[in-house]
Parts: sequence; structure tokens; C-alpha cells
Amino acid sequence: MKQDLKNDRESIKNKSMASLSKNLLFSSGYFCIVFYICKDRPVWYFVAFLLVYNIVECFFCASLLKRLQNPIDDMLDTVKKVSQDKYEAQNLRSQAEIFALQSQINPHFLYNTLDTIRGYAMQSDAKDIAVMTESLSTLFRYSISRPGEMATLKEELDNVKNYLLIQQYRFPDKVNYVEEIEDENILNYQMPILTIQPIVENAIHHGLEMKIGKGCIKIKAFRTDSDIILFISDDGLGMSEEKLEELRSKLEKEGDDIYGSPSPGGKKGSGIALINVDKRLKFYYGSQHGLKIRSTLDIGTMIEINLPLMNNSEYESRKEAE
Amino acid sequence: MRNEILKVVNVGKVINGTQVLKGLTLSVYEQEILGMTGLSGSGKSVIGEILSGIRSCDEGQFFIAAKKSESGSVRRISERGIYHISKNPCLFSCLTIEENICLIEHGLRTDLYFPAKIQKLTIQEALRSLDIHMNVRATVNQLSLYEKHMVAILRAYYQHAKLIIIDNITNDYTEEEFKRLGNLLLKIRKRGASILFIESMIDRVVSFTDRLVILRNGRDEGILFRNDYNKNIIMKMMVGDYSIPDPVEKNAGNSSNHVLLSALDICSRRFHGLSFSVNHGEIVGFIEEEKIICTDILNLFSGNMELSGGTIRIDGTELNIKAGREAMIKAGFGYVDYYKNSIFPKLSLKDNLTITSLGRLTSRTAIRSKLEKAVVKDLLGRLAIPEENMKKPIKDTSNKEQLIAALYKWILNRSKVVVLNNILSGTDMIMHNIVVQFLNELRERECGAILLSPNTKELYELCDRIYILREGKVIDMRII
Repeated sequence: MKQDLKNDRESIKNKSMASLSKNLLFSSGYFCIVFYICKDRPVWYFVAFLLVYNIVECFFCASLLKRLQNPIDDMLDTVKKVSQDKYEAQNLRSQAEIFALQSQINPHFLYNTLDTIRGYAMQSDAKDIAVMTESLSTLFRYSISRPGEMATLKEELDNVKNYLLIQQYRFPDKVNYVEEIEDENILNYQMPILTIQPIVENAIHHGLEMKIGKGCIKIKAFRTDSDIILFISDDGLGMSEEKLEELRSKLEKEGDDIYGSPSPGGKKGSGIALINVDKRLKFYYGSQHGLKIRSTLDIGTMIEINLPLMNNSEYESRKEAE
Repeated sequence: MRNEILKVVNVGKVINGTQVLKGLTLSVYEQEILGMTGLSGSGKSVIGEILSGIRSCDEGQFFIAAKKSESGSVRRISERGIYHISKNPCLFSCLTIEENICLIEHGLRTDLYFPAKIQKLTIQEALRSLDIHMNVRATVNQLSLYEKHMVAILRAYYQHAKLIIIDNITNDYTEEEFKRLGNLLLKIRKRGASILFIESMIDRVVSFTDRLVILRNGRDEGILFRNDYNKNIIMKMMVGDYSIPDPVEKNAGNSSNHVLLSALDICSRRFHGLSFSVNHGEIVGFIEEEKIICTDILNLFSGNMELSGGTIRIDGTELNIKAGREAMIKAGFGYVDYYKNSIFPKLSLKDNLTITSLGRLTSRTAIRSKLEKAVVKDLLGRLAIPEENMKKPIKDTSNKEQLIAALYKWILNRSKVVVLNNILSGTDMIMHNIVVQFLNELRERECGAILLSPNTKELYELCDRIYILREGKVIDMRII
């Protein structure tokens, strides 16, 4: 937003300066010629030239106003959007607080119960049940107890591993998981919690579950000078072009309304998790960020996430805003 | 960390009412060779032209080294370090290599001599560092196509290009030339530049690229990193919902022993007693050892060659080679060069298909339009081309339909021998199948074909017999 406002301001400044300098150049040239012509002539000559000058100036002003109309409109739109953002963010925060209050009791009961099951499983030497229960408990702790928080990429990846561990028990030898992190430093990068796991869940649910044979989920991450790029790909069933187009238009449509909840009636298979993640990313980082989906039927799906690198102050201010 | 040299976001482009590019997003990183492939008509060349400023885009954003830029100006884009190498590079053919390289130098110093001494030294240094052996004082008109491309690439490197866009230039390359190009691009990458390598041949695009973008219907529908390259996956990403077309196999064993075309003791400035034959239903290829493509054979059958001796017979009738192409067509020859040059772009698909056979479709002075329509309808039905495309100007139809028109007009003309010059240049797997299908149809009809191509592998795949020439004589003949 700040960048948009800056761009608009620059654009207005540049256009005004260009017009004014042209105007100045024209005026000085015009009056030089007028003085030269009028030096030995009656004064009404000069008055006539002055009249012509005034008419030309009116045209100049009109064209300048016309040229400035678009950047000023853009600037006004941006200002409107910023104030709307603030208002909606406030709304979201209130909603989140209510939600947190509502779910305060249940999670603790759930964690305690899961820990008890784990204890019984260990006593009965049921190692698999103990491991599964521990993973489930950690998964719930991560996803339920930290709503709206930021997490590091490492935490996100650990959560994915935890989720896959549970899935390994459901579908043994079904999913192969590969991680390719080009730069270890990016593991400390802060991002909205539960960005990656829903996409992986989606990949298993829609891509690999129905696939005959073993599938693979691959997460590749690297940083550029301005962004962190994440590729989450699976070699599952993929999507037909029609379905892909439908999902893309949904993302585009829902992305315009980043504060609303996903459309009601979103049934299984309609990519609701992807829409949700996309909306959250757009809310945090702006509409130019979000998910990019590529898919080919019988080959698989690849989701690209583009997260802007933020310096500490930006991150702190974001945290404060939350 | 990867530094982003170029980024385009959601680029869209409409040409002649067709959405050629739609929501295309792409990044090229520093010291990266990014490959780009897709079926013919998927928008590869259009995005290449937009990135280099030859075309403007209708929508989308464009960033060069993280700064917002605008498309549509070659000069502005090249000033920011992006250079486009097209199949026909922009070089002054009457100037020498070094003059061509130095001519567009930004902030050119005025000196008594051109190129200035410092410029010459810089060129020599560039040649040395890239291990290119070239006489820089040779004029460009003496160079082969491959060498011209080298000069254009060298010029971009000399101008400190950050990104060089190689736009489908290797169609007419031999395997050896392609290898040399690959080595050169790897060296350029090592010295800091990035390459966007646009190519329709899958085998070539995967050979030295670091990452591959696959276009489908004007969108980037697939990204593969080098470790994930797989030819089948790439092909499937190219075709999308459709299944990968099975390669059409050539029909073997259809050729009879009856000679259709025979050349006996041909003597001219180029040939010294050349003899060969083409049987009914046989596809014959020619390879000339010293040349990339056997142009002399092409000139011979185009009626552009003065013969001092020898005879050519088609179906037993002696041909008057000097009579020119029109007489050759009347005698039963058909010619197909690069398919885009073998059609009349403003005429409809129907007119392009029947243009060679108007003689048979004309009664007295009028064209028998019902018959013409029926013939074309029948052909299009056989080739699964929608009938509604029949009346469209051929320039507005797909490349596949243009290729069909270029080839099948000779079937409708009932030509006995079709001379195909580098017909697979710039074709994708679907168009490759169309060519094989066409050759099979020629075999079935007991017609013959003469095939010329710089790609020896392709010739061996498609032909039934290959003649190898050296110094105007057949030195070997291989039956495949």
C-alpha cells in the first residue's frame, strides 16, 4: 500500500513537473516573440497576444487536469483501500478474539486426553499408538492453540512432517516426502501459521489418495533478493483444464474479497483449503501475493507461494498490528 | 540466494481476437538458463517478443532487476541488458563481424577509426573467453546461419547483456551445431549472464537448461527443475487434458521395385555423374557431407541448375529440367519448404488446399465449387479438422492446419514426387505426426518423396533410403 501511494505521488509529481516545465518553456518563448513583434506597434497588439496566451493557457490547464485525473483517482482509491483495510482488520481481530474465547476450554481437554491415551499406550507397549497420539496432539497444539500467529518456515515444515507421520499410518508406503531448502537461513523466515500444511493435506486428499501406487510430495524453497519462493508439488492425479480454470477463477473471485470467509456450500473437492490459504496470504502481504496453481491431469499439481522478504521493523509493525 | 533478473506477472496478449497469452507469470534468475517449451501456438515466441520489446503486452506487469518497466520498446529493453536473438538475427550483411558487434554500442565514442582499437581488443577478449574461433573481419553475408547467430550472441555478450533470449533459433541446426551452441551458452552463463532458451524440440530444451517452463494455451502450466526433467511429463504438460499423441510410425515395405524417378549421369558445375532413383511409394533422403543441407539437389529439382549432361526421367518420361518449376509441377512434382512459406496467408484453408489442383477442378472457365468443396471436406474429415475452419483465412488458423495445407495440396494435385525441404523445422510432436502421416499416404498412393533436412537423425527416421553425396557424386546409399 505504502509503495502504491508512493508510486501515485511520484506519478503526479512527474506529470505536473513535466507539464509545468513545458508550460514555462512555452510562455518564455511566446513572450519573447510577442515582445519582439510588439515593440514598435500599438498597445492593443500586445493585448490581443495576451488574450491568445490566456486561451492557450486554459487549454494547458485543462490538459494538465486531465492528465492528473487518473493518478489522483488511483491515489484516492489507495487511501480508501487503506482505511477499509484497517477497519476490516479490526473486525477480523475481534472475530478472532471471540473465537479464541469460545475454544478456550475444549483444546486443553483434548490435549490432556490425548496425552493420557499416549501414556496408556506406552504402558501397554503399543508404540505405534503412542507415536500417533503424540503427533496428533502436537498437530492440534500447533493448529488450534496459535490462531492467527506467525510461524517460522521450520515450524511449518515440522508441522507438515508431523501431519505426514499420521498419514503414513493411514496409508502406509503411500507418500514419499522430499524437502529441498536451498538456503538454511530461510528456515527462520516468519510466515502466517498453517500456510503449508493445508496445501499438503489437499495434495494427499485430492492428488495421492486415489492414485494407484506410491506418490511423492516435494517442497522446494529458496530466496531471491526480494522474496521467499515455495514450490509444493505432488505427482498425483492432477486436475483437468476445466477444473483448474474453475479453481483459478474462484481464487481470483475470492481474492478480491479477502476479508470474507470462503463461500458457503464449499464441498469436498472444491479447493476450499487453497482458497483459505490464498486469502490469508493476500490479507497479510497484499493482493499481488498468494497462490499460483499449476496442474496437469495425470501428472500432478504444483502450488507456488511467493512471500515478500520483510525486514525486522516491518515484521514487528505487522505483529503489533495483529 | 537467487537474484531475479526478470519477472513478468500475469501477462496477457490478444492477437487477431485470439487470446495468445493469459496470466503468464515468469521469473528468470541470475546465472540461470531457463528453458521454455510448448506446442506450436502455445505463445512461446510471443512472450519472447514481448520480453524483448518487439511487441507490447495488453495486460500484466514487467520487472527488470526488481524495477518496474514497460514492454514495447526494443531500445529501452536492450539498454537494461535484455537482448533477443531471433532466427533471422538483425545484422548488416555488408558489414564485418566486428563492425556489427560494435555498431550498437551504447555511448559509442567517436574515434578516427571504426571500430576503435579498444573495441577491437574487447571483441578479441570476448572471443577468447568464450572460446569462439572466428575471423572477425569477415563480412556477415559470408556466414552460415549458425555463425550469424553466434555473432548476434557475441554482440549481446559484448554489450554486457544480463539476459539473452534465444528464440527458436535451432530448428535448422545440425546436432553438432546445437552442441556448440549449448557449450557457448553454458560459458556465457558462467560469466554472469542469464539465458531464456525458447525451443520447441524437447530433446534440445532439456539438454542444458537449469529449469524449464512449459507453456500451454498461453499460460505457464508447468515448471520443472533440472532434477525432475522427464520427457513424458513434459509432453503431457504440453498437451494437457489430451493424451500424448502416439508417434505415427512410418509404413515400411510399401515401396515397389518400379522406378518412379531416375537421374542418370547428371553433370553440371555441382554434379559429376550423379545417378540415383526413387521407386514408387518410396521416401528418399539426401545428405551432403560438406553441407548442412543438400541444397544442390533442391536446386536441381527446382529447375535452377544448368545441366551439361545426364537425364532425369519421371515414370519413364524424360524431364526438361531447364523449363523451370512450373513445368516441373506439370510433370508431377510438388514442393514444400518451411510450411509457413508454402502457404498463401490471406487465402482460406480451402483455397490453399485446392490452389495446385485448380486445373482439374475447373470446367471451361469456371471453378466447380461444389466439387472443390466436396474434395476439401473429404480431406478435412479424414484429417479430423473442423469444417468451420475451411473458409477462414489460413493465417488465422492453427499452425497444424497451415502445415496440412502446405503438404496436402500436393496430394490433391496428385503429384508423383514431392520435394520436402527441411519440413520438420519448427514443428512440435503433433505436427511431426502430421508429416509422418503425409509421408505414409504418399507411400500408400505409390508416390515418391525427396527429403532434405539438416537433421540427419530425422532423415534416418523418416526415409526408406538415403543417398550420401560428396563432391557431386553418390558415395554411399543406405536402405533403412
